[in-house]
Amino acid sequence: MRTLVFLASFVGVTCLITVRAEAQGARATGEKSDFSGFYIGASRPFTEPEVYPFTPEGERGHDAYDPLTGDPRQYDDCAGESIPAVLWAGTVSNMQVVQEDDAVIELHYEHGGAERMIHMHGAAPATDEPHTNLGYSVGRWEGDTLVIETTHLTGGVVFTNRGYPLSSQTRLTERYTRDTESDLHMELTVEDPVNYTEPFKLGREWIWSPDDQIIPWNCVSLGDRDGEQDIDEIRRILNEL
Amino acid sequence: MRTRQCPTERRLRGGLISLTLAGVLMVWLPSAVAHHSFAALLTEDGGDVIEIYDGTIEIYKLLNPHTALIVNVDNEGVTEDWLVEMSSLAALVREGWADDSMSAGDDVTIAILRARAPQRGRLRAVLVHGEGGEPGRLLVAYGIRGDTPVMRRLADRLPYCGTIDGSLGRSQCFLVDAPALAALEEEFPGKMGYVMP
Repeated sequence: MRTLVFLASFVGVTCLITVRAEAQGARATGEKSDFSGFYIGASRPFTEPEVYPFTPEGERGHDAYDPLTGDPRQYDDCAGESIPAVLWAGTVSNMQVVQEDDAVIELHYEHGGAERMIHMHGAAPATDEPHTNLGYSVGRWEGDTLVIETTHLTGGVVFTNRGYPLSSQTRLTERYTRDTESDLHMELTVEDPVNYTEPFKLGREWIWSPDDQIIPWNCVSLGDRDGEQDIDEIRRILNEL
Repeated sequence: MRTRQCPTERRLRGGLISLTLAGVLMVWLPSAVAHHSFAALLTEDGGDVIEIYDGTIEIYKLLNPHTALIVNVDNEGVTEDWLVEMSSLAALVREGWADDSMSAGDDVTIAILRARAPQRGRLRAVLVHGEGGEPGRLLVAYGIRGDTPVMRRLADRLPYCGTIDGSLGRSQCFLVDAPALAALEEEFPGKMGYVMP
């Protein structure tokens, strides 16, 4: 009898360990949530470092940045969007998550009509992958958290109106979690050894808005904001719309 | 009073229901997350230069990233064409702005946050004068929107047009009839003194 009790206990504990291990393994190796939907970028809470850990080069770049000359949109309203700046693009920081298959998650941003392809399953960039404003993004699920790592950026700035330089060596890691209200919390880790001595984090919330949708951007540039104004050309453009 | 909605606005009305909830959390974004800097002309003290003119709307187009007005203004007897920018179509239609919020030919008095570039600026406020005894509409935008002293001042004295979703805490539209305008001008002297800081 004692042997039977021991065997039953052994089998039970073994099963429990096996089930827990399988559950943990599933979460670690591909269990996914569905974040599909439309989200409005909320202004608060918004978090950023109290002090940015600049390298000397980063500090020089930050001090030299003038948003009135460094932001290409001062000259061309329709200049291409960049990551991470588009993540906090003013009052239209709205995002559509499209999650139709396991291979790719699409992130569509209202601002500028920017679209990102998040390659799931660790699809590595090609050896000759070019550096672009939106970079190359690889995604994975860590339990219920969507993790996106982006490299191959051309560089740029964190905020178009405040600077904080980024080099082409930048690696961005976005971590999205969804709360009980279906809102998304984003934590962004910025790693750029050229401009910062250590990684730093920023964060913001995206409010789930299932009845809303992306409004097509159809960008129209009103020209250079800092030079002579060609009002006749702007009038011509506007009248042709 | 014109309350006709453009098709885009009607399509977005459903979305505004959810936006009303979201809007409770949305206020004018802090500088950290602003779209881009406005090359404003500033006073020696660093304040905005606000210019006020009588004029006529020539063009009003809801656009991304910035809605555009061309206004033919009277600058001390000389007609000047000003390009006045507003927020994006995407933001404004969610607030309730429509294609007919202003029209070519509207007589206006306009307050402009002047840019460094000549005859260019951002809309602070525009009074669209009423026709045939109808009340005018005072539309307020940059520098006023949100929970600001000027917004509170106007909200205490004027009725809303009913076309702007005030829960978003951004722009607003007020009805201004002749007695109300006279009272405002007496209480807040100077041209459009009632929208000045």
